[in-house]
Amino acid sequence: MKKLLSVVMASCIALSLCACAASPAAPTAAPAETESGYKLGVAIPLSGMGSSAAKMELVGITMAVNEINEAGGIGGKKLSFETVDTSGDPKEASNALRKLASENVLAVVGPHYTGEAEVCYPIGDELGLVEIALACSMPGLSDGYQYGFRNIATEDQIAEKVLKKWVEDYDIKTVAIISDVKAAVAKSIGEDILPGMFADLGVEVLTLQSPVTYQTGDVDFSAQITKVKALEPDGIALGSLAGDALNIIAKAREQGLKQPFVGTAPLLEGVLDKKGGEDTQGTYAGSAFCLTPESEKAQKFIEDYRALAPTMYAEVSSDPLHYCANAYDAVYMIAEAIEKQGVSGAAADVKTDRDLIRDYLAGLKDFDGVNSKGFDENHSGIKDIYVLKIEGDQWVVVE
Amino acid sequence: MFSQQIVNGILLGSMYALLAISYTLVLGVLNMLNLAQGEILTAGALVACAILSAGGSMPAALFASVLVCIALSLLVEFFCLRLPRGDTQVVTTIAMGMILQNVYTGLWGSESIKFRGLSSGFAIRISTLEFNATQILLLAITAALMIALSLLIDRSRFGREMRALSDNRTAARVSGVNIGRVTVLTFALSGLIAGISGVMAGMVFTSVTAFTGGTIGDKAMVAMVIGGTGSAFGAGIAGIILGIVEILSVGYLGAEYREIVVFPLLILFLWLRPSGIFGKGRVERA
Amino acid sequence: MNVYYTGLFVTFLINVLCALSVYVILKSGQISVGNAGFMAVGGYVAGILSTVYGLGIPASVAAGSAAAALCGAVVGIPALRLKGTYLVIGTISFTAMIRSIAQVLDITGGAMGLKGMKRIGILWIVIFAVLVIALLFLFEKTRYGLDVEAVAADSEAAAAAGVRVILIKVLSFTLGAAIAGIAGGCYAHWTQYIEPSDFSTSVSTMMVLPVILGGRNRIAGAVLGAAVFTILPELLRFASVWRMVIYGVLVIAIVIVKPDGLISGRKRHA
Repeated sequence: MKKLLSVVMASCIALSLCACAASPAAPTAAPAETESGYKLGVAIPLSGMGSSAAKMELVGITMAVNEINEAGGIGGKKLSFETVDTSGDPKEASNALRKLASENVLAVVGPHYTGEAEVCYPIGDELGLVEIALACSMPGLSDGYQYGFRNIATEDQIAEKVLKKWVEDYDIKTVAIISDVKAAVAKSIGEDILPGMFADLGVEVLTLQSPVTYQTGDVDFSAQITKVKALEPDGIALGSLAGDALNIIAKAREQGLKQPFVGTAPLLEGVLDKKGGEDTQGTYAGSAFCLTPESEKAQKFIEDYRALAPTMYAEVSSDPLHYCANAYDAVYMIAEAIEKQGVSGAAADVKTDRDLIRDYLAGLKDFDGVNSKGFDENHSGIKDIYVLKIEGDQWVVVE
Repeated sequence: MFSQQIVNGILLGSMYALLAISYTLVLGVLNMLNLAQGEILTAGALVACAILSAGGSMPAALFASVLVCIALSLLVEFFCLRLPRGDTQVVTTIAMGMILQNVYTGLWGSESIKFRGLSSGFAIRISTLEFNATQILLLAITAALMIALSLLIDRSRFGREMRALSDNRTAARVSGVNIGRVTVLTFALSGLIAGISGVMAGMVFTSVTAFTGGTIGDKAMVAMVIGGTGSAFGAGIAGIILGIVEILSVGYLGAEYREIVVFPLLILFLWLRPSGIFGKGRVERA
Repeated sequence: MNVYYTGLFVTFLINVLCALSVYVILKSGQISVGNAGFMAVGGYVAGILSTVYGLGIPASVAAGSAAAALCGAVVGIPALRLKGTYLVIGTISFTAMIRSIAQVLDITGGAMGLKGMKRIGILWIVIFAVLVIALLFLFEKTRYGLDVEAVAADSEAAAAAGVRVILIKVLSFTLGAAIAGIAGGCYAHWTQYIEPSDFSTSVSTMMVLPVILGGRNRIAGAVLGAAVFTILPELLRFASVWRMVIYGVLVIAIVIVKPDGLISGRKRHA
C-alpha cells in the first residue's frame, strides 16, 4: 500500500512539476494578434548544423518584415513573426512546427533542410499549415503535398546547368564521385543525380562500380581520398554538404590531388569560399542567386543586407547567399497572399486564413521577387540558375 | 592503393591507440572506466585549436592542451572517483562527460573548426607511399608513447606501484604504497596522453568539433579491451589493428560499413577472452 | 490540449519507460549502459511493421518490444560473465553494434533513417506506461521480486539459498529490454522519424542518470528521476546548452551526497 502511495505521489509530483514548469517556460497560448496584425512562424536551424545559412535567412526575413511594416503593413496591419530554432534536427523541426501551429501563425517560413522537411511536410498537411522551406533541393521532395512548398530550385535543375559548364570549361572526360550516404540531399545528388547527368554528357564515371562514400560529419577521409587518387580522374564531383566538402577538398589537396571539384547547391552553404583558401579555388557549384544580379531589386536587396547583417550577427558573411533571398521572397510571397486573399488575421479564422494563403501560393507563377518567380506544379520554386565558381574568397558567376 | 589504405589505417589507428592507452592506464590500475576520457581529449583539441588560431605556436598549443587535460583529469579523479561511492563511478563519469561536451558546445558551437596544423611540404616517399610531416609525427609519437609507457610500467618504481595497486589493492596499501598519490599521478598521466592525443587528432583530421573525442573514445574503448587491460602495448597494437580494419571496411565496402566489424569483434573478445590479447589484470567475473 | 504541453508529457512518459528499463536491470545488480540499443530494436521493428507491413501501431509497438526482449535475453546470457566496468563496456558495444547494423540495412533506411510512421495516440503511450508500472509493481511483490533483490545484494549467498541466479539475471535483462523496446516503439511513432544516431552511446548513458538521480531502489525513484530529467531542461531552456551542464552537475552532486538517489531507502520486508 505504502509503495503504491509513493508511486502515485511521485507521479503527482512529476505531473505538477510539469504543469508549473510549463507556465513560465511555455509559450503563451494566446492567439496571434487579433485585430492588430498578422503573425508568421519561422522555423530554421539557428544553432547546430546549418546555423550560418539560417542566420542569413533570419536577416532576410527581418529585412522583409521591416520593409513591409515601414511601408504601412498589409492593409494597415503590422506583420510580425515568431522564431523557433530547429537545430538542424528533424525532430526539433517537427516540434517547432507544432509549437508555431499552436500559436496560430498564418504560415511558416522554414524549415531549412531536406531532412527536416521530410518530417515536417506530412505534419504541415496534417495541421493544414503552409510551410515554405528554404534549402531543401532534393528532387521530388515536395511532390504531392498540399501545404508544403519550397522556395528553391531542385538539384536536378541546378546540376544540369552546372555540370555542363564544368565539363566544358575543364575539358572533363572522366570523373570520380564522392558521395555522402547519410544526409538525404547529398546522397540523392551523389547517387542518383550526378551519375546519370554525367552519362548524358558523355563523361565516364569511374566510381560507378565501386562508389566512394562517407557519412555526414566523418572526420577521417583518408580511405576515400586514396581510392579516388588511384582512379586518376580528370575531375571530382561531390554529393556533399558544405562542411564535409571543405574537409574533403582540404584532405585531397593535402594528399596531392590537383583536380577541380564540382558540386551543386549545398556547397554554397557554409563557408567554402571564405575558409577554403587556396584549396577550393576554381570549384564550381550553382544556385538561384548571384552577387552581381541585373535587376535593381536584387541589387538593392544585397545593399540592404550588407547594411543590416552586421548589426544582427557579428560573424555572418557579408555576402548574402540564395537562402537569404529565398527567405526574403518567401515573406513577401506570403504578404502578397495575405493582401490579395483578404486574410483576416483573427484568431477564429485561422484555419480559413491558412487555406487562403495556401491556395494563393499554389497558383503563384509570376511573382516579382529578388530571385523568385513562384511555384511550379510540384510546389518547388521557379528560378533562374546561375553557375558559380570560387574565385578569391567569393562565389562569382561563370560567364 | 591497398598499401596506401593500410597506411591510412595505421594512422587512424594510432589515434585510437593513443586514447586507448590512456583508458587502459586508469582502468588497469584503478579499475575505473573513465567515460569522460573522450571529452578530455576534445578539450585538448579545442584548446590547442584556439591557441593556433590566435597565432600561437605549436609548442604553446601542445603545452596548453596538456595542461588543460591534466587539470580535467584531476577534476574527474576528485569528483568522480574520490568523492562518490564505489559503484556510482560509472554514472559520475557519464555525467562529467555530458557536462564537458555541453560546455564545449556552449563555448564553441557544434560546427567544425579548422585546425591549423603543421604546414610544411616535408614528406618521405617509400615506393608509391607518401608520408607527410603530420603523419610521420603521429607515428613517431604513438610509438614513443607506447615504448615509454611500457618501460614506465615495467621498469620504474612508480610502475611497480601501479602494478601492485592493480593486482591487489589491500596488499598494496599494506606494503606501503601511497594509494592516493599513485591514483592522482595515474590520472595525471592519462591526462597528459589525452592532451597529446587531442593535438594529434586536430592535426590529422584538420578540423575539430565538440564531438571529436567522443567518437574516437568509443573505438578506443574497444581497442583497450581487445588489447588487454593494463597493457599499453596491447592497447596500442589493438588500436592500430582497429584503424586498419575500419579503413579497409570504408575503402572496400562503403561508408555504411565503417563500424560493423569493430563492435561485434569486441563482443567476441568480451565473451571469450575479456582480458584481451596482452591483458595482465584479472577480470572480475560475475 | 496545447501542443507544447502534450509534447512535454509524451517526452516525460517515454523517459519514464527508459528509466524503468534501466531500473529493472539495475535491480538485479547489473548495470546496463546499452538500453538505447534495445530501444532502437523496438523502434525499428515497430516502425518497419507499421510502415512496410501495415500493422496497427499498438500491435507494432508490442511486437517491437518482443523483439527487444529477445535481444535482452541474448545479451543477458553473456552478460553473466561480466561484471562492473566490463559489463558497461559490453552493453555500450551492444548499442554501437545495433546502430551499425541499422546503418547498413536498407529496410531500416540505412544512415538516412526510417520515416513515414503514423502518429501514435497519446492515450496509447499512457496505457503502455501505466501497464508497465503496474506490472513492475506487482512483480516486485512476488517471490521473484524478492529473489531479484537477494541476487543484487549478494549473488553467492542467494545461490546458496536456492535462488536461481542465472534465471533472475537473464530475466531482468529481458524485462528491461522489453520495456526499452516499448519506449522505442512509442518514440518512433511519436517523432515519426528515427535514425541510428538517435540511439547513440550518449543516449544510452543518459538513460542511466534518471534512475541514479531519482532513486535506484524504488519504482517511484525512476519515475521521479524521469520527471526531473524532462522538466529541468525545459525550466532551464533560457540557458540553452548550459542547462545540460547544470543537469550534469546536479547528478554528480546527488550521487555524492545521496548515493541511493532522491527517493532512497530500501523497502522493508516482514
